[in-house]
This record gives sequence, C-alpha cells and structure tokens, in this order.
Amino acid sequence: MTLLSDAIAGELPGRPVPFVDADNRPFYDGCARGELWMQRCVETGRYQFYPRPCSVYTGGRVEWVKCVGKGTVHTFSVIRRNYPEPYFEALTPYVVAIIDLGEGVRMMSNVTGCTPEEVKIGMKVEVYFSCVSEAQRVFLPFWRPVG
Amino acid sequence: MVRATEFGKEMRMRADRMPVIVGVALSDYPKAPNLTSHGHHAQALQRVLEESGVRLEDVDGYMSVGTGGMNVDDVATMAEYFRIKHRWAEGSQIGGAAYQGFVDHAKTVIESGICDTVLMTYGSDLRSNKRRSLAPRLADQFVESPRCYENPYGPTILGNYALAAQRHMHEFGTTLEQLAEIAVSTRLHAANNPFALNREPITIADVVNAPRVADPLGKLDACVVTDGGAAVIMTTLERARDLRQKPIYLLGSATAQTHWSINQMPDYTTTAAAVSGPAAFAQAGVTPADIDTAQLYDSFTITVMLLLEGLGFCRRGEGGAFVRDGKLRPGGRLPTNTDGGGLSACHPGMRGVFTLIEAVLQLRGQAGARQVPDAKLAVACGSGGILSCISTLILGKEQP
Repeated sequence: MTLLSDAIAGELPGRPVPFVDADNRPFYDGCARGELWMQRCVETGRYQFYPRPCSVYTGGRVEWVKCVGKGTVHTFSVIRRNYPEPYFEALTPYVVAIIDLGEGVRMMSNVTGCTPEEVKIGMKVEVYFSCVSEAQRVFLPFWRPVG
Repeated sequence: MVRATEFGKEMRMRADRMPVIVGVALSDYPKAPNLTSHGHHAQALQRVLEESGVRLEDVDGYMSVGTGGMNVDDVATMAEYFRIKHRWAEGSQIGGAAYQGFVDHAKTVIESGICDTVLMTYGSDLRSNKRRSLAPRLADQFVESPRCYENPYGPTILGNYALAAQRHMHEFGTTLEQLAEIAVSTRLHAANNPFALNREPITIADVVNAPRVADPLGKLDACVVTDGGAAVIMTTLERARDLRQKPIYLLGSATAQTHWSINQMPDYTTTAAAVSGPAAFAQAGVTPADIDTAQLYDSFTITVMLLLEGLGFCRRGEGGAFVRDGKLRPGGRLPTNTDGGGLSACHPGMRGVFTLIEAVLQLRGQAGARQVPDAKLAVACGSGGILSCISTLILGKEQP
C-alpha cells in the first residue's frame, strides 16, 4: 500500500524551503550528505537544537557534532485539516511529531513510513533525508519507524 | 518623631500613587464588518474615555501591540494615530500575554512616577478582513531561522497545541471527555453573554464526536475567530478618586516565558504559568482557593487545563479530574471564562486583554447576566505564543 504520508517526504513543489544562512549551513550541508549534525556547548558538553552561534546554556562557544540519527516520538499530532495551506491540506492526514534524539535534544519533523494510526509516543524512529529543493540542494530530515 | 512623620508622609504618597485600573471597554464583537483594526482601537478608546472620565490629553503612557507589521498598527503608529504624547511607550509582542504584561509593567511605570495615566488599546478585524489570517501562508516561500525548523513540516496552530494535549493524555491519562468539559462549561457561560458568537449549549459528546482537526483535538476544542478590540486605562489611586468607576486593584502580577516555538517547549505539560502564577499569588498574599472567578486564556481546551495546573488550582496532571465535576461552569466553585471565552465568545487573535477586562467587569459587579455573585478576587491569565509566555494578574475589588 502506498501511503499518502510517504509523499510528504518527497520533493513536491510548494513545500516551504529553509533559507540556508551562516548559522544553519553546517546543519543543512549535513542533511544533503545524509548526516544529522547538531551543535554541542563546548563548556558543558550539552547539545542544542536549533542551531545558534552561541550556547543556550552558557552563551559561550558551540561546536558541530554528527548525531547517530536515532530517536523516539516524544509527542505528535495527526494533522487532519490544514485549510490555509493547500500544499499540506492535500497531504492530510499526516503526522507532525516532536522527536527525542538520543543526544538529549528534540526537533519537530514528520513521521512517515507507517499509517498515522500506527504512530505512538515512545515509538523508535530513525532519520532519513529528502530533497525539498533541487535547485537549492536543500534536504530536510524526516523520521520513520526503525526496522 | 520627625522620622515617623516623614515615614507616614512617604506611605501616604505611595498609597496615592498605587496603580489601579479605572477604565475598561470593548469594541463591537464578534462581527463588525464596518470596523477596520484601527477602527476597533478607536471605538474602544472612545468608549473607555467615556466610561472612565479620563481625558485623552491626560494620557502620558501608551501600550499596544499590533496584529500587522511595522508601520501598520504597531505601538508607534497607533501613538501617532491617537496623537498620544507619551513618556513611556511599550509594544512587547508576547502575543496573548501582552496586555497582562502591559498591566504588570504599567504598575511599575505609574508607581515610579514616570507616568500618571497609561492607556492600552487593541484592535483586530480578523473575522471580517479576509486578507488576514493568524496562520500566514507557509508554502511557496523560503523560511528563515528559526521558523525553518517547523514550517516545512506543515504544523498548524491547533496541531501545535495538540502536541501538548497528546502528551498530557499520555502522561496523566487525561481524557478527551475531561478536555471537552472545558468547552462545555465555557459555552454555558456564553449563553449569558448576548454578544458571544456561539451561545447554543453543547454536550461533552458533541465535543468528543466533533471532527478531529489535529488529533487528539477536534473542532470544538478550538477557539472561535471573531473581530474585536479593547482598551484599558490605569492611573494612580489619587487620580481615580475623581474618575467615574470604582477602581480595581492590582494585587499581584508576573510574567514568565519558557519558549516561543512549540519545538522548543522544555516540558510539553508544564507552562510558564507554573512560574508567573505562584509569583503573582505570592505578591497578592492569596492562594488559588481564594479566587472567586478565573479568566484564563482559552485558545484551546488544553490551554485552560495547563493554565489551571500551572497557576496552582490543582496539581500538575490533575487538570482532568479538577474540571470534571463542572466547577468551571456558571454557579460552580470556580466560574471560568464567564464571558464565554475564546472558545465561544470572542477571539480576534490575541485574547489576553479580554480576560483582564472580564475580570474587571466581574469585580465591579457589572457583568450583567453572567455576574459571579460577590466576586472579590479574580485571576486573569494570558498565554502568548504556543503556551510560551504566560502572564498572570491577581485583581481585587477592595483596596489592599
């Protein structure tokens, strides 16, 4: 069965495309290579997401580190209506989730590769990447069930 | 002896400068097709001057946040619009907590003597103006940091609150029926407000069986979309003696923020109300059990539950059990959102100011058919962003 939610991770015209800037370029460059890169506070060793040029823990320096790319679903919603956004309305129902990364940070993403009804809090997921702008070579991280 | 006299004089001066709320007014709602956003500001201004007896020329502080961009209805533009010669202008855009935050800050500005009379206005034509939407179009555009970490995944406003609701249900066993009670009780209050958008009673089954919009939340867990505007005036107790309304006292006020984007929320079942609530109650020297009526920002049912918990009306995770017996309903132990709230009456985009105005009307005894008998203490709590920035006011009828 082809899941409509799989289409959400494909390159379809209309999805908002992140603007890559000096602060987030290592993150999106990593995505384009199929790698998930996060920042770590040099002083405390704690991770942070989203990218900022300073540590949210100390205000000090950060370094970029490659993550394992495994996580669990912390919470989620099955989006069934999104009137203002024809692009996303066409994809409903789809899952917007907050993913707990093993490194101790969270990020928002979509969980695909299963029906929305199969998504549960605590479900183990792994990252994969999909191109959202061929012209700009921008890739986004998405998550799917492990296995 | 000299010292004691000086001390007494100082205390009297401080009492005279005690900041009080002397004017509140609403513009036409829920539908006002002939009012622009600016028109809502202006109508509310005219009404607040009329009801309070304050003269516009006496206004020397102004606070407002716009719904549009710079040079549309921001604080500086609106100060120009009304030709307010202010010594203090403030437009901190903390969303639905902004006007509670303004009251909190106006207190300091008045106490310190920077200003004597602070005006706040708000206006939105969200329902009638089809060009506007709370959710700007995401698609077909580049999104900058930090929006780029959410928008490409198709989040919705209701869906963002659903993330908190889902987690609350998972951690504490909260049910859809318990959340639904908040929509039901609010609708019962709306029946007593002739201006409320939706006044027909609804049942828990209606709410639970309504179409899901973003699981676990459905259509009747969400606020209405209306037009509306408001104005508030604060001044010193000394000046209030010459004005038309009995002053309402600010007993406690505090603001706190945990995040702005929902992906950054540190704990999806704990809001900054857990900080600003206890701080405001401590200042006021009262506890949640003393409160006669609560006006809590109700963008969605889950918002009210999380605010009740954060403010300390019940413990974290116990919101479902707390609301279940109907204590938020008319005649209940804690009548909540007595004007019908954002869920049923009025939500033009930022509801915060309406919660504080309803609290003032209740304390004045001017709430008409929805009056809570002998209301002496009220809490008005604004939530801005996505459960992000929470500002709490404790208001009283009697001078502390």
